[in-house]
Amino acid sequence: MDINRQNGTLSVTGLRELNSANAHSFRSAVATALSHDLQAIEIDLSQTQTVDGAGLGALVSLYETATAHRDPDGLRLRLTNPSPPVQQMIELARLHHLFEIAPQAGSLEGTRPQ
Amino acid sequence: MKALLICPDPGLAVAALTESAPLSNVPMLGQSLLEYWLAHLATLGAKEVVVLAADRPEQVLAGVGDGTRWGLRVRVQPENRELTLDEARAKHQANDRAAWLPAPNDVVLLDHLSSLPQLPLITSYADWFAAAQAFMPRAITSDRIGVRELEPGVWIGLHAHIASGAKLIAPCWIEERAWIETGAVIGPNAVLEKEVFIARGAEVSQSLIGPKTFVGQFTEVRNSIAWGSSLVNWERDSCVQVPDAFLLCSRETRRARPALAKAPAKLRLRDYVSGMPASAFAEFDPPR
Repeated sequence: MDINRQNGTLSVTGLRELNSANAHSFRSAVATALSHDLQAIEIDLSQTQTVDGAGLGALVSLYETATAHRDPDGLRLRLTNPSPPVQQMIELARLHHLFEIAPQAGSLEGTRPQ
Repeated sequence: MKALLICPDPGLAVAALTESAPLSNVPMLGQSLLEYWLAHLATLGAKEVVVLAADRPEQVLAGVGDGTRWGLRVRVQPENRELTLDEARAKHQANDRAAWLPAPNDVVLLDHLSSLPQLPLITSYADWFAAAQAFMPRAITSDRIGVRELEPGVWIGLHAHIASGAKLIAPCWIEERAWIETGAVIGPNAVLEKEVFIARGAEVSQSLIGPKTFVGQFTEVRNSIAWGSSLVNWERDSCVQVPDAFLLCSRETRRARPALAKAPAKLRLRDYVSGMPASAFAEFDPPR
């Protein structure tokens, strides 16, 4: 997993799984890189094969940590390129209402949190 | 008069539906394709029906018995593969063609419903779902016991439990012994098969929930077929096995493996989700 920061956006790439095996380490690693001047967190799920409830919980927890002492509207958490099965898990848990989803090219249009 | 019914072997097109039963036994609005067709053939005057089954013929036999429920004599004939209509005629009608129902009802491939011949069933999940939607207003027949139309477009089976705080949006079909908790929203265009459990706050729309499936609290099932732990998005034709029993699972799995189905879910969410209401992730045992 790689974490990079550029122009107020924290980008997470190379995430092969997001489940009970790595949810805690994922959350800790990304939380360490958070700062108050961040405008967006972008998590690339293009290589993510499996997601479970623990992984989805880690995303929620990360978002709450990032917005704990600031206006939540000032920070976007964007999940990009989820495979269709991963997107199904996100939608089953209703996280597409909380996060912006940018699907893979060629699939359905992206969604914005409602 | 006699008739042949060919049980289809759809391959992978609707694999999530046929994991535990042959397609002819898979329920649609409470009854299997085979049950609907046997009832229909009985109304056409058939007295004897031979069912040609390549996929799990022992389950097919267990599902229909000897046919006395329909006033028929039913025999299940195992086959090595799905026969074409012509092959079935040549093999089974060779010497006594006069004894059979007139074509096309002398040999029927169970790839459609008798009342919806124009709608293919087994070519894709989207087709299966579309047929279920179209079939809803036609499924209550004179010989069907227990299902009633609660309000226009809302059909409820026997012993279904619907909490006072649940919302039903037509059209929707809720089979017998389904259990819907408060705050759940069912519909529009939702089908809940027998013994489905919809936990508090869950939303089901444009979807079909398979028999004995548990749908967890505050989940959202949309444009999907949920069948045990299999979740198929019929619009995108994608499928995922949901690993978390608190989100989606077979109720039989929850009964058989309570330790696996409950404890990890509690621990994970309490560990990682701090700000969401605890009730959103509380474990709940469906009534047994």
